[in-house]
Amino acid sequence: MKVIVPEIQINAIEELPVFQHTSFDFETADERIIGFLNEFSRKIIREASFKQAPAFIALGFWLRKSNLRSMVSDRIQLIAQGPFTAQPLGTIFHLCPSNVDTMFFYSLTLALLGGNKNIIRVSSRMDDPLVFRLFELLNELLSTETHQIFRNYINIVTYERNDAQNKAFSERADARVIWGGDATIDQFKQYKTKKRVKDLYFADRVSYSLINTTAEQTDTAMAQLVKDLFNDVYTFDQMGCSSPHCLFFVGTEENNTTYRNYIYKNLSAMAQEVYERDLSSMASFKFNKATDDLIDDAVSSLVRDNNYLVLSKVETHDIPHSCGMGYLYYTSLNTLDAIVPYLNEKTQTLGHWGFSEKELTALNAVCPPHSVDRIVPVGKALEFDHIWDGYDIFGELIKYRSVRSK
Amino acid sequence: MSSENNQKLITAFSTALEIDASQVIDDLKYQSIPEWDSMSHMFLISELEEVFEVEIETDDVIDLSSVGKAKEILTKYDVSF
Amino acid sequence: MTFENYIEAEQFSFDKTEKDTLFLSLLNDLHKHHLGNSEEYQKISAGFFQEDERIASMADTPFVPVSIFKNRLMKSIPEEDIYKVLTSSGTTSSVPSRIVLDKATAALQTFALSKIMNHVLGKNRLPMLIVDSKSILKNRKTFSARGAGILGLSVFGKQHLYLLDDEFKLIKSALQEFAKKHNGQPILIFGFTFMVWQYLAEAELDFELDLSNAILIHSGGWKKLEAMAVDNDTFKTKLKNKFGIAKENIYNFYGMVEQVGSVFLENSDGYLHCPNFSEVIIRNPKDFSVQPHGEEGLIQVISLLPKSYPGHSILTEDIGVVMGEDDASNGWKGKYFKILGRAKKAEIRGCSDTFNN
Repeated sequence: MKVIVPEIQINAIEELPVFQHTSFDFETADERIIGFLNEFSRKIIREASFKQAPAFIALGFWLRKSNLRSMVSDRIQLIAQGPFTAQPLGTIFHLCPSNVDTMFFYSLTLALLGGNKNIIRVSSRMDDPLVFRLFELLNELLSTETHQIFRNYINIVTYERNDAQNKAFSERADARVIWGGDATIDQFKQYKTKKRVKDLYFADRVSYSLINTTAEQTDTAMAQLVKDLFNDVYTFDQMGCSSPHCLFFVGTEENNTTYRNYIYKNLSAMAQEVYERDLSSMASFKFNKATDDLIDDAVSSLVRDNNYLVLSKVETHDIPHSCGMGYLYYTSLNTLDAIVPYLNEKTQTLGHWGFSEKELTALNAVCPPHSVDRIVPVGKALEFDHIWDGYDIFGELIKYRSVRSK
Repeated sequence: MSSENNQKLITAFSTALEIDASQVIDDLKYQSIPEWDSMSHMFLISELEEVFEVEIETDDVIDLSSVGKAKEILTKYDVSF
Repeated sequence: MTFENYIEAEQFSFDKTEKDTLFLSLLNDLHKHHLGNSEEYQKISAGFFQEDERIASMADTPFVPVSIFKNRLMKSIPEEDIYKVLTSSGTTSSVPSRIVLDKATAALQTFALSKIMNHVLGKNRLPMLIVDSKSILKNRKTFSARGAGILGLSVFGKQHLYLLDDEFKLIKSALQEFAKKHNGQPILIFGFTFMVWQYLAEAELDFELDLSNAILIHSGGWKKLEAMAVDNDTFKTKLKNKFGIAKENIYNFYGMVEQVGSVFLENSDGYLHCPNFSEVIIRNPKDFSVQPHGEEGLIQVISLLPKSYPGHSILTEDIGVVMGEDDASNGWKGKYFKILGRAKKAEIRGCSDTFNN
């Protein structure tokens, strides 16, 4: 096991600062925590090597104290009203995925704001030099006198797949935040934990986008739609749990077809220009998936002029999982509520474009309660919300104490 | 006071967008020059918050679409120009 | 021309005009047969390629992904006509391909191989040296493409000698005896490319081995040798200098269990050559359009022989480039190409990528 943050070497996990340091020093959303994170935000935004890295700038922007405060303000107000106080849950173990390089810091931030101590296991397969730069910046900040206390609150570790380590952390954690899907969840449910452990599980999810083809749109709006779809679909090779796998065109058949063709033409052209990926893989993945879908009667026809984008007309409510890299299912809906049969407990994000507030309220009302955790504009599918998969992560990671004088 | 804030604003814009101070005029609009794109916009907001010691709300982040608009928004946060 | 007449014709004798007419006409028969007998093929042809019963030109031939034979049992014959199912096991981690043969197609497979081999070996079976260990055939678990290749080729030789023992050590005494008997005589040598390099070309012998009349056939790809900076020319030169094997008697070959009849043998210019009953098309990965000669892309292989299963047109995951057509220096007609390697599989990671996989 390697400790990345802070830069120390240990022989046993008990030597990690989070275990060595026994007191808890912060109140919920403590000004010192917000100040520390805001300073980190400044460091990230000013860092020259992140200039061309939107994911890192977005993290830096998200860590601004104004944003941190607005995320926790509702909860803090509630606490202020009493009659209860809030305490940290304790030591939180975070297991983070390797596909989204900055994910671990979002998870960490929301737990840290509650005053918790954190062990973050990042994937040993992370290889982006920018992530290592982020660790460096964090270590720099932790070595300043003002912020060195946080060395006891942020321990980032990495190790190869290792049951013993997972068990050891699971036994000691007061809460576990398990990103990483169904298989990982099954694995972690087998470990012995504290009786009162609180687990937040982020299971395999799937996301879709809804496009209203009824309203008249300007060329600028259409061009922006293509850009926004591009960001949602091609970022993380369409493999994030918020990446859309299916486009629903909502309107008349005629309008839907016009939109479909417009999107195919312009989105594939944009991908050709800016999506830099091995072409042969892109071609093979999609070809294999398309033939499978055709044979299984999951899709009936394809829109495909090139291998940057395939639109497959889906013929089942049980939409298959895309192979990624720009393979999208699509279908035509006459009304917005026709989406309902496609929604189930696996559905996470619905992107929307071209709908009124009223239509979106109606959409929210028809979504079955166990399905759909986010309804956000197209282009924002991958933007991290502090409420994720239905959890208010910050709120979940604090403990309440009733205090009544009479 | 007001001219001092004006100077601070110009410096913040030219630092964040990496443009010459002379380019920072009230009419300068978001995405009207390549230097002011969605990425540098985030840097700009962060810079304004730092310089004027304010915390800008999300709605205002989106609203802040020109130098003139920036002054208007900052006025709401008790910064006078 | 009937199918029988076409495949009986002398190898490497048909040029582009004949391929575009005779070959295409027979290919259309096959396409129609599979459309009517394989639902899977029909769906791919209609759904992905919008092709109907008649293919207008070779470039319009629908293809199936090579991986489909791993995922599904593809067949164009009734259950009761299945004579055997070929499997390629490859490595233990990968799922094997399964190829359904009826008696007729199985016979064609043998026929095709001998047709091509006889073209370079002549009709007589030669004493044969196999650069491998016999143990590779014994163990069913490790029985692989290598084992299948050895078995397939060994019918063209006699008095087989396996050069390596169970520990993959050169059996010097046996080789010395073989040399005594056959030095300077016509013999057949077969092995996987990297095995031939490692165990024959690099062998330290304290006796004379004269292979000046030997014919060497090797297969398996250059990946391992490329890593050692050994290319085809280095390979041939070393064997020539060390044992006197004539460069023109060294043949690389490329084929795959998934397509009966596709045996591409190296021509005198060092490129892999399409036999009469096979064709290659290089597809641009950008949009699957046909690449002009000289441009690289994914290799599509087409063969007239697979009738029992829809494997007559397959998109491989190999990258290659057509180097020319009908103008090979040894007079062989047909297209010739070279393989540049395997398409790299981009590693794409999902949110579920933490520990598993």
